[in-house]
Amino acid sequence: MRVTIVRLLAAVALGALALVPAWAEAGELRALVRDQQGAPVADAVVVAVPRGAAPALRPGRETVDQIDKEFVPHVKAVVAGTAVFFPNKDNIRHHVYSFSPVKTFELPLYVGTPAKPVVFDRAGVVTIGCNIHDWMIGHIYVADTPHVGTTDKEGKVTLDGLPAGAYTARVWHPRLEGTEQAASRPLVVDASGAVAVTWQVTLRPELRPRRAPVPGARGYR
Amino acid sequence: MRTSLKTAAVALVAACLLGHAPAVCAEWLLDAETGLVYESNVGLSPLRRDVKGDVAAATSVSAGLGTHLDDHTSASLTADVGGQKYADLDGLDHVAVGLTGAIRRKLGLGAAAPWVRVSGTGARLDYEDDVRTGWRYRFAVDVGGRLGERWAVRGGWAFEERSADHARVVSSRLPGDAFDVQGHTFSARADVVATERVSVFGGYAVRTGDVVASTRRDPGIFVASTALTRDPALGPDFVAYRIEAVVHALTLGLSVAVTDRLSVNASYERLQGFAKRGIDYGNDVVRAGLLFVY
Repeated sequence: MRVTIVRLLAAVALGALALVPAWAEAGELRALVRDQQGAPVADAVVVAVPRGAAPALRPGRETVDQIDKEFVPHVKAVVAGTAVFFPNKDNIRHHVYSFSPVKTFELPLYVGTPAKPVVFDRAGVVTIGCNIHDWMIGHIYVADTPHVGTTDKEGKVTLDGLPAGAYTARVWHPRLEGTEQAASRPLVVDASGAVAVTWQVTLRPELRPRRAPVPGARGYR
Repeated sequence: MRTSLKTAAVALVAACLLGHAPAVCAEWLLDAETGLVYESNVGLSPLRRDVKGDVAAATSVSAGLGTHLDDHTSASLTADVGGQKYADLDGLDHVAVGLTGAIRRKLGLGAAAPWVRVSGTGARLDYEDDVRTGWRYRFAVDVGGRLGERWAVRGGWAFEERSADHARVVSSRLPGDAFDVQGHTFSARADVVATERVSVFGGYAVRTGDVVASTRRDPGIFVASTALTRDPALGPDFVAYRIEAVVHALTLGLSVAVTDRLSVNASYERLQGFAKRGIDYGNDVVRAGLLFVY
């Protein structure tokens, strides 16, 4: 009996030791994005692309809601191959479309959730809209790396589970002045922990069709 | 098959009308506007001696239902209530109650796709001085579209007819229905997004048809008129006359978004009317107020 317990403890200890390297080699990228005035930028996409071999992707299922005649979230980051559902949570019908070369599609007027999701299988940016409510514009960033996320209201996002190694980190935003590549920078994630990166980006004014009323212009009515 | 389709259609319409299927059919619409309007020449008089300016508090509310008939077409039906209260010229105080129906169709996909809107309005006008009390009808066709991120343009044609309940005859040679008027308006307008919150708009319109204006007795004007009636709203010795004219209107405005549903707005409009025999007038209109849309 005592021998069995000792063997069991030894096996657990060996197993734990075997896991340590993998855990220790998983670093993280703590990103902070600010605009030209130093204000935090929400809805900025931060990606970390490993240099060398292309990483394995694990596409899953995501949703972009339509709430109060807006796409929620305004920016959604997914990995290539992800199936995205577009539930309409308003009590009116919406019509979702995209002209973007990365993914062109159209979901004719509907309520509820369409039975089939839209699969985003190519990397790039897809701008979506509603043909009824012109101010409804959203963006889906399709990444070719599993290490992607969007910033919160404080302009922060943490990409965890990054294997140690060299990366190119980029930031993208719908109003980014210049290209995503121009906002890229090399970094090295070591096996011991976190890398903090701060971007200061220049944003253009948001000039999408205005939702607020203008005298004499009746919007979509 | 046809019977079941008919039954489904009838059920859908009935559900819409009874409000049992708002998710499928319709959304509530509500527009509310309030503000001040200043006019430098309320009576549109061509004679300096008769020009009267005044300021009015103006409020209007439109509420109704809108629905999307297909991927490109929307329809709406609203009940409209509005009114103006003048600072000095009490006889011009009025309330308007009416209905507006509109169908708007986008000719393509996307925010930049051009659109066509056809609308019709019927309204009852009830003035403090009832010589103006009556009905107003308007039928309009507008087209528009966006040109890039900043610009939106639109143009349109409208036919408007107004008929008054009463005709106070003041001349044996002319009818008293001066407030029975009709005319055609052609308009063009551009909106520019200046910043994320500020839009600027400008427009030009030309109207041909009847104009009703007010003056004290003037033989030259009366000879050119097609109808005359007393107009105590402007003064005890004022007469309203109907005359054919061409009116040009230039508008410049500013709209500041406070929220997604509320804006603060100001505009200036210059009206210049030209009638035969040199009976011309000008009117400067300044508006400022709030506009809310739900």
